[in-house]
Amino acid sequence: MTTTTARSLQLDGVYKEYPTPAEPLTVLRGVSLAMTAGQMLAIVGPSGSGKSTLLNIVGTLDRPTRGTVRIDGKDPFALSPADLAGFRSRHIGFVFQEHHLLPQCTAIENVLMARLAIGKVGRDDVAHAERLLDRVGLGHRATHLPGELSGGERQRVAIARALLNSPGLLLCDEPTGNLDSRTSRTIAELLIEVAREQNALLIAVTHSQMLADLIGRSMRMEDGRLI
Amino acid sequence: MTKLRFLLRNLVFFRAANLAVIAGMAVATAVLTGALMVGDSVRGSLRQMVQDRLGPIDFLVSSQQLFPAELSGRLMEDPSLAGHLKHAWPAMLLKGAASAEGSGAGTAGVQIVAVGEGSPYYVPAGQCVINGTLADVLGISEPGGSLLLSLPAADQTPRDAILARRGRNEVLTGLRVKISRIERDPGVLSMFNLAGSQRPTFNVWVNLRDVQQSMDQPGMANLILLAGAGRISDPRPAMAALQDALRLKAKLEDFALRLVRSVDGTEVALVSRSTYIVPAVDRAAQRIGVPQRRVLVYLANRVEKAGSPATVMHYSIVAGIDDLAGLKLGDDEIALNQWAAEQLKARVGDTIRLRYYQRQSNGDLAEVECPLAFRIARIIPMDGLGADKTLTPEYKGFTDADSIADWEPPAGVKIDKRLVTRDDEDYWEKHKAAPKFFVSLATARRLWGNTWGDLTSIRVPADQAVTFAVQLLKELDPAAMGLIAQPIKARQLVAAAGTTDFAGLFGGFSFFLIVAAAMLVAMLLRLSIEQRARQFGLLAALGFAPKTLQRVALGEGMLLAVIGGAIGGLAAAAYTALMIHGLRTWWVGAIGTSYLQLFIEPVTLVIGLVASLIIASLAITFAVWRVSRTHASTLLAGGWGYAVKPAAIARPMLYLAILGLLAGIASLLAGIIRPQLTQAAFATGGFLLLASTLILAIVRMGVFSRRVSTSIEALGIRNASRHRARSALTISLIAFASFILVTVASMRQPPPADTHDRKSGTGGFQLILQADVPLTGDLNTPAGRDLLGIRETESPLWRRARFIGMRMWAGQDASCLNITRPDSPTILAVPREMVDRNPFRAAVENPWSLLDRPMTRSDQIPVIADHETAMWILKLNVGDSMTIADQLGRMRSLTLVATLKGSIFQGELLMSEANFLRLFPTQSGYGVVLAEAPAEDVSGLRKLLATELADYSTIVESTADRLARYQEVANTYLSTFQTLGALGLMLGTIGLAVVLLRGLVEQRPELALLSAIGFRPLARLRLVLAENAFLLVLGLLVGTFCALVGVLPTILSTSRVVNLSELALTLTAVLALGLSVLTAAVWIGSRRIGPADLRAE
Repeated sequence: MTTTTARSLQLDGVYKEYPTPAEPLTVLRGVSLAMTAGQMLAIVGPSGSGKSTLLNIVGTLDRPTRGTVRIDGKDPFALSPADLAGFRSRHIGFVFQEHHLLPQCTAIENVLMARLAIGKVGRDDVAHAERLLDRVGLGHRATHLPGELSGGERQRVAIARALLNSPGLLLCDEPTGNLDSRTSRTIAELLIEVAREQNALLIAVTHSQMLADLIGRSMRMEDGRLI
Repeated sequence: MTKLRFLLRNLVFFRAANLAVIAGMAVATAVLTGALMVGDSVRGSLRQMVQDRLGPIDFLVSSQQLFPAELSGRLMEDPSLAGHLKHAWPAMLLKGAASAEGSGAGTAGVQIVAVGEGSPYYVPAGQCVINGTLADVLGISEPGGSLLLSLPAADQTPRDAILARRGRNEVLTGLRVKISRIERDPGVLSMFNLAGSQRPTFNVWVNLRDVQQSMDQPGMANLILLAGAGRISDPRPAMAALQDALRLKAKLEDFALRLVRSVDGTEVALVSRSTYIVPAVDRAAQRIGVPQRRVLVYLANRVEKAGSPATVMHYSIVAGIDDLAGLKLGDDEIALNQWAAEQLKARVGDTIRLRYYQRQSNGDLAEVECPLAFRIARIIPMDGLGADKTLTPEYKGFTDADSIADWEPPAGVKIDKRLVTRDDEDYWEKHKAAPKFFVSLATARRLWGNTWGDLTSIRVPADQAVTFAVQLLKELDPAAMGLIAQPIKARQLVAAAGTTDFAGLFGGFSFFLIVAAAMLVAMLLRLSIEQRARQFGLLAALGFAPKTLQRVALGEGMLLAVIGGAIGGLAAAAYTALMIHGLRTWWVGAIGTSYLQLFIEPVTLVIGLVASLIIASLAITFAVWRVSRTHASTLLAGGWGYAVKPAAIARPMLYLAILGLLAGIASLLAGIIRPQLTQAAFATGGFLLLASTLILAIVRMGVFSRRVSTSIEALGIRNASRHRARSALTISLIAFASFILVTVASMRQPPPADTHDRKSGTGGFQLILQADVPLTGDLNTPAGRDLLGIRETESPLWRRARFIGMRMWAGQDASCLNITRPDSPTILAVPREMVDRNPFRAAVENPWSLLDRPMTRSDQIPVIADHETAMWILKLNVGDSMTIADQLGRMRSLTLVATLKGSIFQGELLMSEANFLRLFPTQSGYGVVLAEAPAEDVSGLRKLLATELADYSTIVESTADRLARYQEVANTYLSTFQTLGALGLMLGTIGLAVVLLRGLVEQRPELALLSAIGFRPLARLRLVLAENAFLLVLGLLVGTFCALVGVLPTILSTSRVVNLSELALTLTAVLALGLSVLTAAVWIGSRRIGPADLRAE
């Protein structure tokens, strides 16, 4: 699998507004950010400050109302929906608070979903998925369903899934939010390790000071602004 | 890992939800395919009926006149038939009445089939076999008893001829036979009928000789039944061979013709058993190059020398002749034989006047003065034509009498024998009925010619008689002589395709079941997808393109549809069997026979499955369309999109709804003001009202979301606006279904309130009489009643009633009671009185006057039909034509010029009497009589008619009953629709409950929260129930209200009423079932709400 590294991330004056019966609700107010490969950032802030919204826009899961987003110099929102999905699969990996594992698929199948999104799953892909599960310490649980895994184990599977396509951009939305403190630390350390191994650009939205400290660099989201 | 494997994994994992989708799909497929298979079963049953009814009989040769039975043997001698036909059985087929001796129970409309030895259906002399239908109506449970049959007597002379025998004892004959067997099993004996209708007939099989004897027609038949040699796939070659064989093997006797040598032996006369030479024979003879003399004789009651009233003669034969031994008489010239001249003391140049009987339009005879006065041109000697009794055809009771005193005139013909002189008797002794007077043939034709014939003989030189006979047989077309061959089995198989599309009919009846099932599939699938929003969001985040996600969802849905469809295909047979059972029992009024079987055609199964899959794909597409249109971030958050800005869509929809409402109200008002627009007004107004009200209800549902809810029920109702699409779908289905149910309930037709209203469906008549043996007397006159042999002829009921008789050509029933396709409907002749009276309602002022109007083409014959018959059975619009064969096998084009609305003539076509007599010249007497009587007399008159005319095989029914019989078919269809529609509505409410049950899964955290803040279980139940019950009740109210308002024009302008109690019962049952099912669903779904559910929130 070829490593595709996003060398840079550039946000300029990104706004996000939602229509309501009264007046539009502005969640992001002119957010600007620039990062390069290997850099990590923790975004902290109170609930409703727009952290997850910002992450969704960076991850191309949502579109900004105004402003530009460039990943490796390209505007992903200029792509067609199908091309954007493919771009996302190759360049971006997600780790969610809810892990979002498919309950009907085994651990390895959940990891392989990332490959299935953009094509057929070959033997090399299966081998790569097994290696990733080994890497996160779940090589022996590959054929288990999510219902048979603990919370931490599920999150590890999610991390493995996020790394399958060797994305250059790793986005984490409260990755330790549902875990106990001990498991949280384990997961946090794992996230940072694999991000460094991949030389990926890591952004994590978190309430966890522990994770923010481990990451080292943090910015605060307040009232739609990144400060 | 592949996408297919992922898909299959999803199907198994979410099996609980998927099973419900499969069940919905199975129901939709079973019902849709089942409906199609009902059509197959009805058609298959009708085809099987044909096979059972006719057995080995593939062809037949029939005639209105009797012919020698041994024609069947002659036909089979033709070698060209060897490969086509195996057997030919002569028979007689008659319609009459039957009564059980002893009990006296009797019935009309009995089909009497007389067969001879050699036939597989032979019955020994003195015995009979009856079918179960007849046995039941006569109350006969076992053989052994005697049956009294009343049959039409055979008199070959047309009954409208002057000397035709028309009295009761002359038109009827009887036969007493012992019942040797009652045949109930399906087969030829029990089901035989040539009309091909599916309705059971009353059949009696008797011995051919017995009937021949009873009718005094030894060796005669009117039917040959022919069995094909093996299975006949295409009857045309056999038909061609049969028609050729008929031409080749027919003799003059078969056409009721024979040759008689003249008194002096110099000529041979071609005469007919039916007295008159039909025009086809005349035309054929004209093509033969043999000298011919044409004669038409008539009986003159009184012949008088003008100016000498004392010099008269009575009861003399006058002959119209084209060549009186070289003399051609002028139009006003007359020749006398010597004897007559002496009796009248007449000389050449004297004037002669005649009086004779003439048949009136009501069938009575009246003596009239000839409009012409004849000048004597010649007196011829008493030899040759001057004294040739063979100029007058043989007439039993006249020409065979030894003296005039021995004459036996037919009933109604008054011969005053006191006027007969000694000289007359002397003449009779020497010359019998030799004509004494001669006029030109042209004059005789003008005065005494008729549609059935205007010649009584064609005479040729004796030495050319054989040549003439041989050539005549070559020229004669058997069909033109009424000897008609037909491929009866092939004809009935074509008719078995039916005129009613039962597949379409039951598809329509089951429409709501299908729609409810399809909507259930859509809603469940949509719910399932909604609950997997986060999964779809994840897949989007992982890089699944929106179209790919949609394909995955569609693929899942279609796979479920295929599985459900396969199960439904198997269940379709069960649904069809249930519908067939219904048609045999609860809805037997629609078809009139319980002879229905299940027939399954594989092609239909495939069509049903494919159609179901197409419907499912529409439902599934509706369910998954949002998958590709929602942002991944929204999906990940568990939602499907923000609330639509009310102003963006709601306002235009609101304006549209208001516009639609106003248009709907205007349309309904138009229907009230202008009754002729009622149907269109309802269709437009009702629909607009429903659509607008629904739009309003759905758009304004959002208003609840902005109000502060102050009660649990109000909060529940507010929740209905949360899933607007789902709510809209539910309300629409229930509203539409209840709208249709109420509308259909208003379409039931009650019997007419006032049968005296001339513009009602009864035409102002209270009774209708149908006679298999046509009535030859006019019930309005004492003479007519005498002729009919009525005993109570002086009853005041006769005087207070008015009767209109109609000649009838008995064909196939063209009403909705016959589900086979009629190609030769019964035809009635409309007398002049009907035109003047102008009864029944039609789109034009006086439709009857159109029957005599000249048509664009001379070969078109105008006819009138009932609107229902024209539209649904014959598939004709005004101006369209259909072709039938007339009495002589000539193809005639009948053109529809007008239709009657809801009349008693739904089984017949109506044409003018003049045209009728052109097509069916020997069809005399009245097959149908309409009676108008004061209300207090109707019951008594009906009894009187039934008693006095029973021997004529009559059925007397009230016109209201006849209309009710026709309406029963339509009302039965409406009942079927209501039953299945109600089932569909119930399925819709059950579907609502299932969707609710599934939806409660996502609502569990919500309910857990309510529990945490103090809501008791009952309160939570009220909350959820309020939301769903609101949808159910709103749908019912909107649909019912709009329908009731929509049918208002119809109710106000017609006599129809809505059976409100039945309707209320149906809707209440639906509401009760719906609420019960919803309550159960809520109770099941909201059990054991606990802290775990709150954590999920």
